Amino acid sequence: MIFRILRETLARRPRRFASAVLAVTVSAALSAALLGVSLDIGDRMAREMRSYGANVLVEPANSALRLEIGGINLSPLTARGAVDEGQLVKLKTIFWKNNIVGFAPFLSAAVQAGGLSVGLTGTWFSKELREPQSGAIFRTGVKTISPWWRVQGEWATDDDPQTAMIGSVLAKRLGLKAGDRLDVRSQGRERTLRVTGLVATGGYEEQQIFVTLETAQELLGIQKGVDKVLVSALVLPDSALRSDLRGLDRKDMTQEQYETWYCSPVMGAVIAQITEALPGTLARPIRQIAEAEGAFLGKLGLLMTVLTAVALIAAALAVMIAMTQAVFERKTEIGLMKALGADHGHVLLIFVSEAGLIGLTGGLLGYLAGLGLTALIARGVFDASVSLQPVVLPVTLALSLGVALAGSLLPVRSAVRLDPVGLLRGR
Amino acid sequence: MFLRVVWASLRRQGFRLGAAVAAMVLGSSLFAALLNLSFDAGGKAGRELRAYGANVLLFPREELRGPSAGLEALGVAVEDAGIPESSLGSLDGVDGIVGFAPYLYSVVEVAGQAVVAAGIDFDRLKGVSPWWKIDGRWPEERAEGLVGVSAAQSLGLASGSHVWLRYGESTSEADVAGIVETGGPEDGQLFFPLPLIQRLTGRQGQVGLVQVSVLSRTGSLQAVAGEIARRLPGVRVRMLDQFAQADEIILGKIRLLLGLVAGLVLIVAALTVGSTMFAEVLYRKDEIGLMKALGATRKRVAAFFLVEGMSIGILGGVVGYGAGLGAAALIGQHVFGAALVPSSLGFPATAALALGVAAATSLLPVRRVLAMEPSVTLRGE
Amino acid sequence: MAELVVKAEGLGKTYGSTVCALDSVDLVVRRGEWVAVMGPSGSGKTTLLNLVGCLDTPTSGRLLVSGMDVTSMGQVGLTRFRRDHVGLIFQQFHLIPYLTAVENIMLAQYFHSMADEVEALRALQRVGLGERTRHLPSQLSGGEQQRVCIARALINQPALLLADEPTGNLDEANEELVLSLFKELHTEGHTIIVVTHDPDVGRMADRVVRLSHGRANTAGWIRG
Repeated sequence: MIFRILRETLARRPRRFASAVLAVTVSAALSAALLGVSLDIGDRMAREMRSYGANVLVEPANSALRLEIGGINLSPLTARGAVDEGQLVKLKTIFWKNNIVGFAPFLSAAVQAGGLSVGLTGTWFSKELREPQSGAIFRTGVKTISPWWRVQGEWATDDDPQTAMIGSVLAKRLGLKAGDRLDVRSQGRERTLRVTGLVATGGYEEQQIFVTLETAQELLGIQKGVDKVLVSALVLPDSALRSDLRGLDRKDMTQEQYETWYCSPVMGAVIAQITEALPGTLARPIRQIAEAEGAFLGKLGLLMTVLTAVALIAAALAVMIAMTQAVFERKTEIGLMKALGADHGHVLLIFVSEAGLIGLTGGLLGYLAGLGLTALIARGVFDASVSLQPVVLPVTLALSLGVALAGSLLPVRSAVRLDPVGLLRGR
Repeated sequence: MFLRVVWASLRRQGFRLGAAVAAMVLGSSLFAALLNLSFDAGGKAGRELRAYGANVLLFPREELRGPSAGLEALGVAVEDAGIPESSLGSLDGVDGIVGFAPYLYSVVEVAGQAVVAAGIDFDRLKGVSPWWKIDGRWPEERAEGLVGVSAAQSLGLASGSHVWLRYGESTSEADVAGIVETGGPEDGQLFFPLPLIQRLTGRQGQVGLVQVSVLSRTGSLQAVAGEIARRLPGVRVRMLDQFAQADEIILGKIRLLLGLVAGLVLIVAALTVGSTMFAEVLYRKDEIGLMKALGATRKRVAAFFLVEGMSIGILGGVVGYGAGLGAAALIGQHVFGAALVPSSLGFPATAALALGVAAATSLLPVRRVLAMEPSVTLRGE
Repeated sequence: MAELVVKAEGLGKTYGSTVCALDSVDLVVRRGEWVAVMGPSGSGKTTLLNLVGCLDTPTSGRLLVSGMDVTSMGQVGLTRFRRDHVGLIFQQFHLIPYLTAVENIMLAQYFHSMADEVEALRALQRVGLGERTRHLPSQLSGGEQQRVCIARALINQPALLLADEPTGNLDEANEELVLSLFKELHTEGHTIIVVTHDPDVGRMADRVVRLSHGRANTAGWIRG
C-alpha cells in the first residue's frame, strides 16, 4: 500500500518531488565534493610542497666534524666519513618507498679552476636506476629534488663524465658560457670539463661547479662514497598520526603502537626506515623544510576540515528548510488524510517513506555530482586525477537520508497533531 | 499604502516567511564566511610560508681580486668585502620585510680543529629562522653562544662548556648556552654574538651576509628586492628561487582551491535561497490572483513581491553577513591563531548577492503567475 | 450610467480546442436588476461570471459592460476596466491574510486610485463591522469575512456587483445576514448578478438565468 501511495504521489506531483530531490542533490553534491577534497588535500598539498626541496638529510653515522661553507665540504678528504651511493637504491625498498619522491648524493671539495679556488660538487642530475624489487626504472637526482634550478643551456648528463654545469655567478667571473671548456685541478689531478649549461638559483649554487659523481670521485681520488644524501620524502604532519601516538617516544610504544606508527607516513617513521635501509648512516629531518611544511599542512588540513564542517551543517540546514516548506505546503493533504481516518502513524509513515526516497535519490545524485566537482577541483588545482575515497559515498547517503528524514519528521509530527478541520480550511 | 502592505506582509507573516528569511540568512552567512575566509587564508598562507626562512640574500658587491676571490666564491667573508652593519638600519623601514638576520662567517680554530664560526644577531635570527631547535637555551650574555650538534659531538662541547676560539693571532672565549640542531649546515657550525666575531676577526662594524625574509603584499618579491637594492646600493640582492618559486606555486594553488570552494558554496547558497523563495511565492498564487482581480496592474503586484523579497534580502543579508563574518573570525583565529583580515569586498558582495537572489527569485515566479488568467488562479488547481 | 449594464450576444468560451465551457449565451442585465445565474456544476456558471466580470476574455460572441465593448480588450485593458466598473465577491472570501479588515478594503481603493482609511472604515460600518476593523481575517468568522468582501466590492462604486456562491461557505445565521445585506444593496439600486445553486437564493433575485452544458435555457422573470 505504501508503495502505491508513493507511486501516486510521484506521478501526481512530479515537479514537487523533483524540486525536493533537487534541493537534496545540491546539498549532497556540496557535501560530497568538500568531503572528497578535504580528505585528499593533505596528500596532494604535501606532494606540491616537495617543490621546496629535500626534507631529509642522510649523513655518515660516524663522521668527524664537517667544515662546510656555502654548501662545499672543506674538510680534508682523509677526515671524512662516507655514505655508499651504491646502496641508495635500497631507499626504494622501504615500507614507504612510494613516498620517496627522489634523492641525490653530494660529494664536494674545493678545487682550482681558472686561477681561483672554487667549490666543486659531484652529484646525480637525473640518474637512471632500477628498483630492486619490481625492476621498474626510475630517475632521480638534483633535477627531481630541486625543481627550482634554472639551467641556461643544457643539463649535464650522468652518463657523460665530461659534462658539467657552472653556477651563473661563477661563470660570469670566469667568463664562461655554455659550450666552453674548463680545466679543473685537484691535488695533482686534472680534468677538462665541457660546460653544458649555467645554473641560476639565487643561492650558493651559483658559485659552484657541478659535475657527475664519477668525475668528482676521480678528481678527489676516491673509489666510492659521498658526503651526504638529500632525500625528498612525502610526509604528512604529525597531526595525521593516531592521537595516542603523537609525541610518543619510540621506546615508550607498545608493539601495536609501534606498528601503527611505522605504517604512518610521518617523518619519524620514514627516517627510521631510511636509517634501517642504509646501515652506517644517520638520517635526520632538514628542519627548515620539514617544520615549515608540517605546520603549513597542519593548518591547511584544519582549515579544510572546518570549512567542510561548516558547509555540511549549512547544507543540512538547507535541506531541512526545504523539507519543512514542502510539508507545510501539504497541510491540507494531511488534514484530508486524517479526515479520511488515517491515524498519526499512517501519515507519518507515508511522509517518512517519501522523505526517505527523496533523501536516497538526492543523496545518490548529489554524490555523483560531487564526484564530478571533486574531479574538477583535483584537475584544476592539482592537475591530477581524482582519487576515490570510499568513505564519501556512505557518508553522503547517510547524511542526505538522515537530514531529509529529520527535516520531514519534525514538521509532519507537529502538523499531524493539528485538528483536521483546521487543516482543511487552510488555517 | 504600498509600504503599509509590504510592512504588514513582513510583520504578520513572520512564521511563513521565516523559512525564506532563514534561508537567506543561511545563504548569506555561508557566503560571507567563505568569502572572508578565502581572502584571509590566501593572505595568511603567505605569512605562514615565511616559516621557511629567508627568501632573499644580501651579499657584498665588492670587486674580487686574486686568490682571495676564490674564498669569497665560497660565501666566506673576505678581508676587503663586507656590508657595513650601520647601513642595515634602513631595512627596518622597507614594507614587506618580515625580518632580517646579519651573518659574519669566519673559519676559526677550536682545540686545534678548523671550524666555521658565525657572528649573528640572535634576536633577529629568531624572526627569520624559526626552526632552530635549541637544547639548552638561547644566549643572553655578551659572551655566550650556540654550538651545532655535530660540532658539539666532534669538539666535545655541551651546554655550559667554555670554548676558546683562535683566529690568526687573536683569541676569544665564550660559554655555550645551548646546542642547536637543524639538519642543515648549522649543525657543524658555532654561533656567537656578532660583536664577538667582529672583534675576533678584526672586522668591526661589518657583516658578510644578510638573510632577509620577505612577504610582499602585492605578491611581488621583485619589487621589495628592488627597494632593498635602492636603499643599500653597495649590496648584491639575490632572490632565492627555492622559496620564491615554490611560494608562488603553493600560494597560487591555495588561492585557486579556496576560490573554487567559495564558488561552489556560493552556487549552493544561491540555489538554496532561490528555491526557498521561489517556493514561497508560488505558494501565494491566490494572493497574486486576488490582487489582479481587484484591479492591480502587473507592475504593482510585481513591485509588492519585489520589495518584499528585497526586504527579506536586506534583512537576511545583513544578519547573514554579520553571522558569517563572526564565524570566519572564529575559524580564522582557531586555524591561524591570528585576527581575521576581513575582505573589503565582503559586505557589498554579500549584499549584492542577497538582493540579487531575492530579486530574481521574487520576480520569476511572480511573472509566471501573473501571466496566468486571474480566474484560473482564483479557482486554485 | 448606461441603461443596460450587461449585454452579451452569442458569448462563448472554449478552453484549448476541445473544452467548451460556454456556448453562445445571450444575456441582458438592466440597471438595478438582481439576476441569479443557476445550474448544475459544470454548466458554465462560473465561466459566465468570469467573462462578465472581465476576468477573462470570450473566445466567441460579443460582450458589452456599462456600454463598453470589452470583447477584445487585452489583459491590461480588462484590469483597468474591472477596477472601475466591477465589484467581485467570491465563495472563498479571498482576503489577504496578513492585512486587517480595513487594510483589505484600502487595498482595493489603492489599486483603483488612492487609499482612504476614513472611507474604508465607513464602508465597514455600513456592513456592520464597525467594531472589527482592525481584525485579521483569521480572527473573523466566515460571515464577517464575507461582509468585508462585500464592503470591498462596493468601495469603488462599481456599476456591477458580481457574486459567486456568496453564501456557499456560510452557516445559516451568517447566510441570512449576508443575504439581507444583498437585499439592502438591491433596494439601494445596485445591479447584482449572483451565481448560485441554492434555490432560496435564486428566489430572492428579480430574474433567473438557467445554464446547462454551457447554454442558457430560460430567461424567465421570477419575483421573490
